[in-house]
Amino acid sequence: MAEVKSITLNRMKMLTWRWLKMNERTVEFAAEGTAGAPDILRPVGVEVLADTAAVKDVKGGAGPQVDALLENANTLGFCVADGVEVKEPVRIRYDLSDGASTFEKYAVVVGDHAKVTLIMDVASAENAEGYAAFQTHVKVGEGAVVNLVQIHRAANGYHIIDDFGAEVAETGAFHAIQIAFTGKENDLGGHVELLGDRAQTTIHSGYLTADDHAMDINYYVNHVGRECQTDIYTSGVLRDRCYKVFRTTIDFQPGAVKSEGVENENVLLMNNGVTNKTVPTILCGEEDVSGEHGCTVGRLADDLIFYLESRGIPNEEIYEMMAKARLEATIRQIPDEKTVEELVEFNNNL
Amino acid sequence: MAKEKTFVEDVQRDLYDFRDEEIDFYRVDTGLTEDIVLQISEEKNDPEWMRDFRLKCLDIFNHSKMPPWGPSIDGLDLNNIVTYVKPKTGMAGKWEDVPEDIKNTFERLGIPEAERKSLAGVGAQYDSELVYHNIRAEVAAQGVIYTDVESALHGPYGDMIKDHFMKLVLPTEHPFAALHGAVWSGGSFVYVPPGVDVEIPLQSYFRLNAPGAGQFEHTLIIVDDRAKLHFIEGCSAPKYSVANLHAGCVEIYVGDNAKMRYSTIENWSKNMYNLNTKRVTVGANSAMEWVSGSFGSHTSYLYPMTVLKGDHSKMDYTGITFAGAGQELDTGMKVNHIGKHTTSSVNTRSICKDGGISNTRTSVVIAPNADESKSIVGCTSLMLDSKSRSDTIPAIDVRNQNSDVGHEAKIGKISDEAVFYLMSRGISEEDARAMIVSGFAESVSKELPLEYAVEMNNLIRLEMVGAIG
Repeated sequence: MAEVKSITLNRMKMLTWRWLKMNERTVEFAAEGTAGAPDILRPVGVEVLADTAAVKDVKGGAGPQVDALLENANTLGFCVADGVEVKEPVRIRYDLSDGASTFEKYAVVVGDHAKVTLIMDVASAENAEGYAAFQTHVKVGEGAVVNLVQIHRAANGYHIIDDFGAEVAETGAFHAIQIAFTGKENDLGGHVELLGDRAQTTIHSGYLTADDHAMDINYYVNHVGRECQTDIYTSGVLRDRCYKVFRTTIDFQPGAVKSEGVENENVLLMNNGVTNKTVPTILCGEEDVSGEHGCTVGRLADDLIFYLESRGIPNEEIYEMMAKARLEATIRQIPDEKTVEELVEFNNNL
Repeated sequence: MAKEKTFVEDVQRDLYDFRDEEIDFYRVDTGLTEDIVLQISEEKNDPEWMRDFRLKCLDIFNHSKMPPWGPSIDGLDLNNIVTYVKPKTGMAGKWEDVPEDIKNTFERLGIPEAERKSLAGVGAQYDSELVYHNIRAEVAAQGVIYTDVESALHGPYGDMIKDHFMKLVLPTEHPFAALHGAVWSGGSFVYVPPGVDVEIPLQSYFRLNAPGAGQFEHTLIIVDDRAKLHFIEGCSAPKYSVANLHAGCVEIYVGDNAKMRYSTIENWSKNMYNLNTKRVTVGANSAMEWVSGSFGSHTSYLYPMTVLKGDHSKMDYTGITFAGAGQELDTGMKVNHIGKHTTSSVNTRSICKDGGISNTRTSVVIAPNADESKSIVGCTSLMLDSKSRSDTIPAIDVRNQNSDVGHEAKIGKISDEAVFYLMSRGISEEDARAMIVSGFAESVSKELPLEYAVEMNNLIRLEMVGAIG
């Protein structure tokens, strides 16, 4: 196996009590990696980005130690010209091999009023073990729309770091979807800068974490422009002895007037023994904004269980059914029918 | 408008911002050394275990690191803080026996009057020592003990103190807990025997008069099985140009089938670093209620913690924080659900204006065995201008499947529609806004004893005048 080193990632913008062990995560990860060999389907309208340094100022959510880890990683770049609406998604598919350490970066520049969807699907050979770290940096032009979908279904011996960052110009929109079905350890990061007025972002994440696996998420959205909008929805299922930390921060800078931010998390615990940590932070330096957070953690509502049991469904089956339903709700946010169909089937067969 | 605001601030100062001359007070040197700790220990005639404990705490403090989170405390230099200032008087049981100037201070703060009207007992601390302690005869006759910790240490409750002192708040937890353990002085000891219902509240009031001083009172409350108590804590200080420090500690033990309410109105002066630690452990079928108003201090770290240890125990926390110019108030609460069928309900409100910073920091932990536990946390923040900041950092750690945890947080400004509606009914804009803020704070004020509710509403109204524009 690869030589490993200790790195700290997913550090919260505003720290809290150390004893809670939520401020950040320190992991042992491959010290070095090589370029992957993804299958890439690049539709008409998407060009290769010649100068990947165009996104060098874009920040990710995983933090500076992941930036340093991936500093010399292979970078693949795409761009979409002003006004071009790309009909088909860019499809990036990894089939990670056993014992590999894959480091890859993506640089994406989307011109004004352009539209594009990128779908990255990471799988591996059955029972494979290894490390994979990805970083995707996106610049979203004025009035442009970018959908970034990242799917993780590598084998349970894999440790994945997946980090995205986006800068969104006036009236631009950046929509991210991260779904993690499997993997021994998943560290997901995201950082969005809403720089222009009326810029918006949505982040949907869904996860199923089981056994003694770990899921660690850190999303940060910075509201700089006026009348910007953030919606973060997370839906997760935890079972066995797994460990999960979910951090989100919506940061309203002074001047981000009439901006709105909403965070919502829904976690279903399938049994005792799981560790479920959540810290949804709202930082507010502007009076004329609206920030809201809501979260529900625990079991299913009694009336729902009663209704389903009265229809002859055993309690255990109800939980299994609702667990799948939660992930499916996130899957159905993906703006690509083919991917949705494939993932729904995958989810049902898990 | 500016003139009116100045006038209002003068009114504020009249209420709390007056000083007494220090004549023949005993002061240790500034800073924190072993000699100073031993000097305090000797002055207080500590038993040997307490002297050793102080030295151990000093050692812990010297080896501890400041927390990497929270507001800056760079303006606090412990080398400039006097940790013990003793007025030239003993503890009196009658106000007539309290020196005239100190008695006048507490008269101006309304303490003797409150005692006559509505309290079962009062403790009044001036700088580092209690100067007055009294309990109504009928309450004492029920077996209720309400005295200073030092007296209790040397009396029949000495072993009880030894068994409970800093056993809930460990000196290893953070530097200011260790500091407290090293230099603590003053504070109250309350013991309510099994089955006793103390129908009217006890109150301790802490006044820090000395510039550049620290106050480190220790409040230890034991509410035995089936007993009930309402304890009120008040505090204030005049404003100085140098930093003052408050690093008190409150430890509360609530037995089974018991009920405890702890109410605080904190109005320290705006040069105060308020780094206070409060904790309660709650027995089976018992209830703990916190009511907390934080208005003063330059910088606050204040998060009362509840350990719901017994099955079917519950906790309610209601708190309001008002951060004005130059203040950074980091407040909130912590609750750990250990027992089964435990419940917690948290309602925090924060208001900030004129560049004030209000951070609401909470944590809810549900332990693996805390089956059928429930927690609901609501944090609402109101920002009155864009010079201010309001941050909400709620942490949730759930390890039990059969539990329900809900959390809601909202940050926003005064609704223009609500102001417009009130103005259309003939109310001035300023009054409308003050009315909305008072209404916002009502969930807290309605939980307070009447005189405290009036005080809190006055504080908010006074702070609001001149807040427009």
